[in-house]
Amino acid sequence: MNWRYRLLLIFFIILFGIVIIRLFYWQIVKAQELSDLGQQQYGQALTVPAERGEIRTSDGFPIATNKISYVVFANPKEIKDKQEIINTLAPILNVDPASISASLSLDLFWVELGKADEVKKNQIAKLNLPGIDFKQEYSRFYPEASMAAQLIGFVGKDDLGQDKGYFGLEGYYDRLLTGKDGKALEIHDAFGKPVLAKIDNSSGQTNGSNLILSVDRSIQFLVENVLKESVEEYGATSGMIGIMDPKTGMILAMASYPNYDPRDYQTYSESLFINPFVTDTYEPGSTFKPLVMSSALDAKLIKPETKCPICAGPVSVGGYSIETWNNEYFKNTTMTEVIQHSDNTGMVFVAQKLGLDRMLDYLNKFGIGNATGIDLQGEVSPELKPKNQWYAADLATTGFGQGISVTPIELLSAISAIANDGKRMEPHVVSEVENPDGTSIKLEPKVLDQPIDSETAKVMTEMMVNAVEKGEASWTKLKGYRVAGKTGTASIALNGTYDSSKTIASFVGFAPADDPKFSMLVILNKPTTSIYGAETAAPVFFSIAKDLLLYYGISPN
Amino acid sequence: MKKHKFLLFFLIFTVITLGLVKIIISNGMTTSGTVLGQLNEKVTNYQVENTLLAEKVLNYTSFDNISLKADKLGFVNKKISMSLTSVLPIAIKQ
Repeated sequence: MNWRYRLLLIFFIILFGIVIIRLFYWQIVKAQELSDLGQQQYGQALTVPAERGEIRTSDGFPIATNKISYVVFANPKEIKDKQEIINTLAPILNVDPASISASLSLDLFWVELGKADEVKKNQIAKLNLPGIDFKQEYSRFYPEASMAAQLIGFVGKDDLGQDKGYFGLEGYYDRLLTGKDGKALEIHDAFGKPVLAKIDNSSGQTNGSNLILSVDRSIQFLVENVLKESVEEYGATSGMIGIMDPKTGMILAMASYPNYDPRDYQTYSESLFINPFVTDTYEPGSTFKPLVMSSALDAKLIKPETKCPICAGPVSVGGYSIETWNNEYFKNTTMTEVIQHSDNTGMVFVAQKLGLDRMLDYLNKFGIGNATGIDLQGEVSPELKPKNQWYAADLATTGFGQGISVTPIELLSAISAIANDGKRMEPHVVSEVENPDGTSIKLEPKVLDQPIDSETAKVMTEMMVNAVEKGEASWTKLKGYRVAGKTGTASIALNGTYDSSKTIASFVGFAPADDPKFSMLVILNKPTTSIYGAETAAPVFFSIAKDLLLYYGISPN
Repeated sequence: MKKHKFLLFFLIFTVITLGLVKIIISNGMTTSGTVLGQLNEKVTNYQVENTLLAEKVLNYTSFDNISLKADKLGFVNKKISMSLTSVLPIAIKQ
């Protein structure tokens, strides 16, 4: 009998073995495949797109947000009269009829014909066209149209057809704004109706963060209007203005003209997309003089009342003759008067006093030759020449801002250091980041360097106030306010020579001089009504300054 | 014997009661999917409506729109030169 028991035992062991192997096959080896198959039968996997974060100005207005738009698509197989569809949709969608005709001739069930907003979508829907349907999606929306366009940037498509931020803040903070798409599983019954049992929509989706800017919408609007009028009035080819809070480095406004509309960026030249305030380099001319003068003051090499021994006529340096802008010379002029008259020969004296080593050291501390670190895409920083490539003439011309290149943001940041007791702040456009979980991160002001001490900054401020009160731009000064400033008329270098008829007219300054609320740089490129900064950029500066002082409620002295 | 009868009656009653409860709950559940679908649709519609209204509000309150409307209504910038000197700018195009 024993052998029968054993046979039965072996039979059952084999039987169970087969069952276990089969179970292993279905539950381990084929588990994922079966799970996916089951999921297709009872559920629907959906991609939950992350909503792109908003960009808001300091008053909380979303200057870049999202809106609903529609993709108009067609099923060519359902359309009998294609010509009627082409004739009807082409003008509404503003698309070339040939493009719609080409799409409809494809042997597909789904072809995209164009994009439509809510109004156009409703207009098309009312027509009840056969084979035409809509797909809802979110697209970027800029309610203020072209305001701060070069500062904000725009959202386009990358190689994979996904939304991507380009230029300005949209480009610089793209990853933060984009967020992360999620996946949701909706369970439904045999009729396709959702079942209460389980809707897994946690999905790992994270919306993009919101950016809160230091940019004041009112100031930005004011600046853009004044800039546009000024470029046209003075016959300039372009212009730009930057305004900063010198105590924190926060940008209050930044405008360039001509600009573009980010809602319709495809119709503009690509050259307009970049923000020239951080990407363009130019020779700053006389607006650079306060930096060199304050360096020499800080090094105790000169005083405001120091007299210039070489200012009685043109100065010869390294084989070049350096003259003043108006060929007027002042014998034994003081340093205060050198800034007041914007005297090139006086600045040659200061630069020579300073010497190359100290000049390079101070320029480095003022951030010249280095990127400021502003949170905008595309900032450039023209490097200073290596020390062994500086000639005597280079040192002399640097004294009055020729032969050296800077970006407007570099100069504004450096001049703001004089307004801020000698401390140079890191310029920033974003003041706060709001995360989707409700937390927020405030970006604290950051001191980058202190090129000059507080006392020197005060002395230099007084010299700049004197330049406004008695200099060539005094005709346009504000009554009752102490404003520190300096004009600039820089010749443009072309093929190694300077064209005296084409200049970059500029004005840089801050107000009120004793407790600055803002620093501002105005640049007009090649003005034609006058080549001088004192007659073009200076009135623009004071026009904006007047409105800003009123806006901040600062009364005259 | 009487005790057993009571127990039997209690068990049958419990089974019937639970059965009825199950039928009632199942009955409620069968329509909840449809209700849920309708609720989801409503939420989506409200979200869409909210976004469209927000877009309109932003368009109306943008400085771009306000200044255009102000221009049409004849509003002009204040031109009182409270702080400029009387000397005329040299470079202004006449």
